[in-house]
Amino acid sequence: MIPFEHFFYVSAILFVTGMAMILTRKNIVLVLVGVELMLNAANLNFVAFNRLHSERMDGQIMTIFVMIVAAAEAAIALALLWQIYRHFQTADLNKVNSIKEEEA
Amino acid sequence: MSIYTIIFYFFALLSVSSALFALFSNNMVHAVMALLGVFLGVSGLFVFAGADFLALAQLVIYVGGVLVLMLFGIMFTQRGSGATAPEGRRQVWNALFLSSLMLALLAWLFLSLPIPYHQLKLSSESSIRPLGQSLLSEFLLPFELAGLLLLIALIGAVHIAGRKNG
Repeated sequence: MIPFEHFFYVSAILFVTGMAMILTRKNIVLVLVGVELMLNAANLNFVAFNRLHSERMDGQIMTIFVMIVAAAEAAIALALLWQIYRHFQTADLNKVNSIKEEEA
Repeated sequence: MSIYTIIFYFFALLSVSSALFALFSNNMVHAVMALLGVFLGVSGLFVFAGADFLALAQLVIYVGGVLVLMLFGIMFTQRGSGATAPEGRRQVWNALFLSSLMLALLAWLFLSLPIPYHQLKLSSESSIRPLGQSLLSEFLLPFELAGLLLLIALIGAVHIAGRKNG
């Protein structure tokens, strides 16, 4: 039998990896990869803890909503990335340092 | 050691090693493709936790949707090989410190909280029917609101991406 703790260890490692990616990477797309890793870790926890009350489905329903929000977030993030790239000609977060339109 | 145990650890190792590869890879395209391994591994773990519908949804939404969007993002914004700029040294040490702190905290949490791990059992029955029933009865309003959220996000994304500068 598989010890159930190992679900939580996998999810903890995924979460920490995503966090390290968000903290170190400078490219917008790679920061998004980190966010997706953290969301997946949270999903894994929800699904695993759902087995505590396996007659109810709350954990799995929460996971569905997290997936929906992740899809919406990815779409918006791509649109924002496109605008940022058009404005700054880069996807490097260190060079994106103003939210105002520059006066030409 | 049964065949299930081997498959479980295969998926666990697949997701963890792909995540670490994405963290340490210097190539953006490789990092995003490593995310495919994470999604596949987590999807396999979902099956072990008795969430067969979610495993399929994970593949369809993440691999079919989010991953493709990210690859589009790279193709839009990257010229050349996709190699990333090196990180600053201080940033790496700060991230290492914060991440190991977080890992220690999570490990302490999972070890010290009175979670009845022995009650958690793998299941072999499908969860699609109870999931659909509770989604369309108890959670009907959040479900419809989630659909509305997706519509708003879609319109918003089109509006933001289509806006001309200045």
